[in-house]
Amino acid sequence: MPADAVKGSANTISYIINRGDDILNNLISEAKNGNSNAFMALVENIKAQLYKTAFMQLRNEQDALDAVREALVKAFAGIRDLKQDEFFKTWLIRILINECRRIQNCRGKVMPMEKECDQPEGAHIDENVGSMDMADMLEKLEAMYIEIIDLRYNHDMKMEEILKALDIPAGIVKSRLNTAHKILRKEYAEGREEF
Amino acid sequence: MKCEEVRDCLEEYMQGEIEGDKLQEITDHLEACASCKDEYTAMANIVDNIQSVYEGIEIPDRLAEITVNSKRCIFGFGWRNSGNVPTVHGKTLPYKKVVAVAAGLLAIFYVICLLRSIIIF
Repeated sequence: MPADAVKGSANTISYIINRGDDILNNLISEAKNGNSNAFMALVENIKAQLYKTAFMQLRNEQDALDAVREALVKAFAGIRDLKQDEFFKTWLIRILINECRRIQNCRGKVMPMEKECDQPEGAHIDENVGSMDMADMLEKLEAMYIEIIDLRYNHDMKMEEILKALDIPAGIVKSRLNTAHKILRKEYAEGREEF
Repeated sequence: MKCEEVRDCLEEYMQGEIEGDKLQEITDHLEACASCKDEYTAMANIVDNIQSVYEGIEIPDRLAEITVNSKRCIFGFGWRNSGNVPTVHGKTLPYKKVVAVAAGLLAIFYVICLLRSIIIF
């Protein structure tokens, strides 16, 4: 009974979503019929993860909230374009990532990696002596690596889901993930030496 | 299995995406090869750290306020394109029936008018 289900508390909704694909599909078809409660029930338990995705891309609370809001509005308006219901989450994350990119472009934000190129070599390392932690390192990563790291370790996505979310070939997903790991490993080791 | 092959799929191994014979081969290799085992530990450490960064992101209260509004336009323009069917209290309107009944009534009215004009003149 999706109409009753959407009136429940967040816990009830998670329980219902976990109960089975039938109910999930019912909620999706309700949402496709324009029922906003059904749509919000679908996103309720991934909202925090979505916010974290946006925050890691935009590094700003207000921008991240804007991105989530815009992405949800766009997703709800376009939910009829979702052909395969099982890819709802992937599809939604893809909309959010595009929204983050749009906000970055609109507000003319300079990517940290580009900024770094202008600095004399080693400048950022001196700056961060003793404070080089993972959050700083992630902040220095390029957007395309952050995206992969985020889908993999924030949304716990499988390789197959990541390539669908980003619409890139499997080989590129793997090599980007490996490169991101190499960069983090290198910086992490450097950070440790500084201690 | 060679070290190079093992390291190439170490991340997927860690995330539990390797199955079958390959899974056993990698497990055996890691038991025997200290250098690959170190590589695995270092990678696991990085992943742990990344996950704690995510856990540490504070969720603002305002996130809970974000919601979307139902499109409750009745016979509004453009709802077909926007992908939203007019709804009332979450139920889809039988808009086709409404249009059909309206067209029928118009037709009956037209026939009555026609008949009256024939009778009068």
